[in-house]
Amino acid sequence: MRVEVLLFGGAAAAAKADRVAVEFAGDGRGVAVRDVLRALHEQHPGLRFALPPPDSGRLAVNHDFARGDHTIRPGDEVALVTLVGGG
Amino acid sequence: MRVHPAGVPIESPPTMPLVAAHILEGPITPDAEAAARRAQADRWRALTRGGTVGATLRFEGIVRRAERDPEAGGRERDLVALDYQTYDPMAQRGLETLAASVAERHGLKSILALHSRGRVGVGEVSFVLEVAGAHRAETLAAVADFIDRLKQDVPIWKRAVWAG
Repeated sequence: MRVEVLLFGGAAAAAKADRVAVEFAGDGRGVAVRDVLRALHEQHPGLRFALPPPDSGRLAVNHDFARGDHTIRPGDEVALVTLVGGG
Repeated sequence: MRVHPAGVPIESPPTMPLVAAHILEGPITPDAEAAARRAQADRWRALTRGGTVGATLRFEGIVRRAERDPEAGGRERDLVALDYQTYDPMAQRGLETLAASVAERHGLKSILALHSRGRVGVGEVSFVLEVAGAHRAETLAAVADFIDRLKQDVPIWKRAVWAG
């Protein structure tokens, strides 16, 4: 299963892209948020400065924050929302 | 309608806090702010005339002339503008949810939060937060709480546009 993760701000600047992808073996029915974060750490080391810890960190999944065991399914929109700078 | 002894009509204030939060294109100008308030104009008027507000507090975020550039060893450099990027619609929903949460947590009478998307030049306003409460304590606490949580949870990013 392939999960695309949208990037913004400093993470997008570091990746020189507005998204990155991580790949998973398996039945393709879904993958947990913590596993996506772990894969980002492993497969995109240049983004580590912007990535939260896999077990406690969160991603935006379909525009809501999710963490841990929450399952990301094919077709879900996933975004890395860290290092925000509003206000 | 009840009438104050001084002869001024007293309108019944809203019982729920007034909450308004919007992401607007470009700098927050007086016209843009007035347009954002227009949808709830009657309720704002009832609130201010209802006699329950003892304190209001307004915060404006303004783009400074210079910022430290981490890519230049932290040296201060002149800015032309800041470009604000938002992840939509999560940013709009996040701003609304945060405003409602802060209003409830601090017992506010009203809260207005406006944030820019896109380019905001030096000296222009990119963020407005205005709160009203019965006493100053909750307004001061609410403004600090809102800004702290905005900087953690709402998907808005800024990018410096350097001069020269």
